[in-house]
Amino acid sequence: MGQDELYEQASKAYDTALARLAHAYEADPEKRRDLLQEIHLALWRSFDRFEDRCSLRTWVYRVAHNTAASHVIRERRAKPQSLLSLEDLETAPDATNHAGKTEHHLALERLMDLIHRLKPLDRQLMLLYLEEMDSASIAEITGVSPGNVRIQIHRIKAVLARRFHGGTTYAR
Amino acid sequence: MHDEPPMNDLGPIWKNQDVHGESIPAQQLRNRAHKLQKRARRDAVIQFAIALVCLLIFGRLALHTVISADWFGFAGWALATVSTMYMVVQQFRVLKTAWATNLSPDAATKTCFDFYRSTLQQNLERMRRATYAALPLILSIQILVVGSVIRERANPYFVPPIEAVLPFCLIMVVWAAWFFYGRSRSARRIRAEIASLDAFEKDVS
Repeated sequence: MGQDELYEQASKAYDTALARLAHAYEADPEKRRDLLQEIHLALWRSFDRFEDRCSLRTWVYRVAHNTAASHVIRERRAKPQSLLSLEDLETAPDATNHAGKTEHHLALERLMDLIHRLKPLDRQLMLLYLEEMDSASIAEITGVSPGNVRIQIHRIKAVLARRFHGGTTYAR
Repeated sequence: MHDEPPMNDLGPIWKNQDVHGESIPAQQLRNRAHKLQKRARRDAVIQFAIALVCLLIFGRLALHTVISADWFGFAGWALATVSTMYMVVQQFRVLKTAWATNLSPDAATKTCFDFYRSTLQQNLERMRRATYAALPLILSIQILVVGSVIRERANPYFVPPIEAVLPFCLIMVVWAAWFFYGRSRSARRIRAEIASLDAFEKDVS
């Protein structure tokens, strides 16, 4: 299969997942749109050397997360203290604006706010987990061993859950 | 996964986001990639040319000061020449990379962990190179200013006394201190991040 066909196949299968991923990496709508296009460009370019080295899903997520991580590193030069370790995240203030929002929107906003403050590797693990991937698939994409994926996701989830349930309630 | 905190409600929140996927036609991506590459190449050529012109000018000035036995001038311009020579070499490397067909081959072949680590290392390396280039350049400006004051001291028509150039020297020193402090703080932060990544695999297991 050629570069264009591979891209079209991947784009069709993962376009919504990629949009969610861009949302998790960039809060600003304009920059998010640019990031999403950058991811698509990197993806198309990468298929030049795909050669069935791994599954299409692994390839797509790897390229997308790596492109997004580069974006985070670039943006971080302007705001060096914007990303937190898990320990710091526990005590950081809640930046969510509660006014005039439905419970679902508030929950999503709070989740995004927490995800936006995670460091790239923690964010990648959590996002792949939220995309319902098992630890073996996450390990293949991230390069972290499956055991460590499980432990680190457990840690991130524990912090997120404590932070999340410490705020207002929302519909389940 | 076992013994997980109760967060089953986050999955649906995540999946039910109101986002719209965007599929860009391959031809449009090809055009954009072509444009980006063209711009990267043009920028690399311009920067290389600027560094080369500076090298020629500074080198010529250094040679001129040797002939006129102006040793302060020679020290200043020679340092500036060394600094720009380093920049020319660095810009030549950038130029070679810009000419490669694929601008970011690592994004696909490296795992997220390796890619993130290598990107941090590249940033650290870039920062180190910029510092190496800036240090002799700043020093050369100081030598040239102080040297010209010392050389002209005996000249009765020389108007700016040491007090006149002192503010410039002070601003230069303060700026240099701020520049190097900022660089070293950023480098420390990146090194800490790399160290935490190195410790990651050991730490969690």
